Amino acid sequence: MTSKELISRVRNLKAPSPSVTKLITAVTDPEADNEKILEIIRRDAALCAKLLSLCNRATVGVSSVASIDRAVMYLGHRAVHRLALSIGFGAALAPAVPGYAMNQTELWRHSLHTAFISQLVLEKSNFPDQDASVSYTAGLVHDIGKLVIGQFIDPSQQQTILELLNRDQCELLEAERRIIGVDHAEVGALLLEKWGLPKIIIEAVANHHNPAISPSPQLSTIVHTADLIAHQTGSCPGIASFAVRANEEAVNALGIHESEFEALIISALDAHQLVEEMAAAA
Amino acid sequence: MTPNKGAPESCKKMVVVGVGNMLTSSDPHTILVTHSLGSCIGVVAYDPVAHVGGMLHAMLPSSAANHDRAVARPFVFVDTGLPALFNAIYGLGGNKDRLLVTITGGAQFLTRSPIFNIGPRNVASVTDLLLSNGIIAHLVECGGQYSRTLRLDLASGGLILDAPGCQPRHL
Repeated sequence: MTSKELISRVRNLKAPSPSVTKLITAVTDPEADNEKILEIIRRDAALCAKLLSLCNRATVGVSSVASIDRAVMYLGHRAVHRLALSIGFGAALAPAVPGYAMNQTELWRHSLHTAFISQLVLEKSNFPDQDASVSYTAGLVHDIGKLVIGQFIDPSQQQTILELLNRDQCELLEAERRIIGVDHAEVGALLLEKWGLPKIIIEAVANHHNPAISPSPQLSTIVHTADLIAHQTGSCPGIASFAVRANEEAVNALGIHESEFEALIISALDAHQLVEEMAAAA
Repeated sequence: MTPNKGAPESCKKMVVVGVGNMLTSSDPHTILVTHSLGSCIGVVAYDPVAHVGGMLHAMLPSSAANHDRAVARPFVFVDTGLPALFNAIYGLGGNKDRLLVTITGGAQFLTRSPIFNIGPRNVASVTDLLLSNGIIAHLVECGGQYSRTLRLDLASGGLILDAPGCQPRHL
């Protein structure tokens, strides 16, 4: 089965609402103005309600926020955009992923962690041309391919993958290709393409395990590194989550000193509580 | 109090030990559980006579990474969390000579670069610190490319390990 055939057979995957795909395109467009982005959020009542509910939770840090405009006053445009994206994709990313032995919301939590850490990695890196919202978005959707493949892997295939990983010490990505015919990075990119997401996000997702070959190597490296750091901070759901290789050359290009990585990991731990709040508000 | 060894797990209270946290207890109706032990390290110490025990879920090997954070959250680091675990167990009546110590976690990526090598460093940090205090771990179940969930039954000291895609097993 090719990855396109696999995607065409997806029945139960909830696509994000039209407002969320519009939102992701607007947030990742450097030319889009803030008012246009807020208007997309305001027009989606369910998204608005969840966003305001989350804003009023303690961790986010403000209270009695009754409108999107007030949320922006307290938190700023960028924070509101990212909260809206995270909530919007929550519906798609929250289901259990049995093929990878992930319980409900585990994939979403890992996605949120990686999104937060992508921003931290960008801040520490010497990639000044990269955009924080684009990095956050790419981190948020990087593993969406697992959601698709996870619906088609049966228990025997899962066991075959685990046996292969044990025997050959290969990457999960390679085991997926050998047993299913496609890997989750490729499938994720095709799904996002089908949903009409921006090319730079699709490229980052397609290459988040191989940033060196990406047409957007810097963004792919940010997501690649953030994913690895997320795993090291206890966000490592599903089978064989450590069966990955770090591309050291790409990671070195970030210009982050070895000693700073532990500081990054400590900062990443702070994201845990916010992630739990967001998952609870879903 | 007589430990309630016979009570089924479903009747007991599950208490979660979060990432960078530590808990001890002498309540036989309690099960301590920690999830998402990837490269993090889980250390359990249990006194089978006093029926007291505890669980640490540390993230990094050394508090040298951030001294301020080590003061605020000592359980994030092995070198500050491990002494705190043992002292808390002694405070509940645990005896050093009777303690059964189990080490789990420390998963490692397929690439063993200095940056992404925290799992093995965590294992080494725990082992060294235990040895320097004359303690030898009863059981070490570390490494591999998977995350773990660990449960400790305070009544019996029984340990159950879960890994995604595998059957739970008693250690």
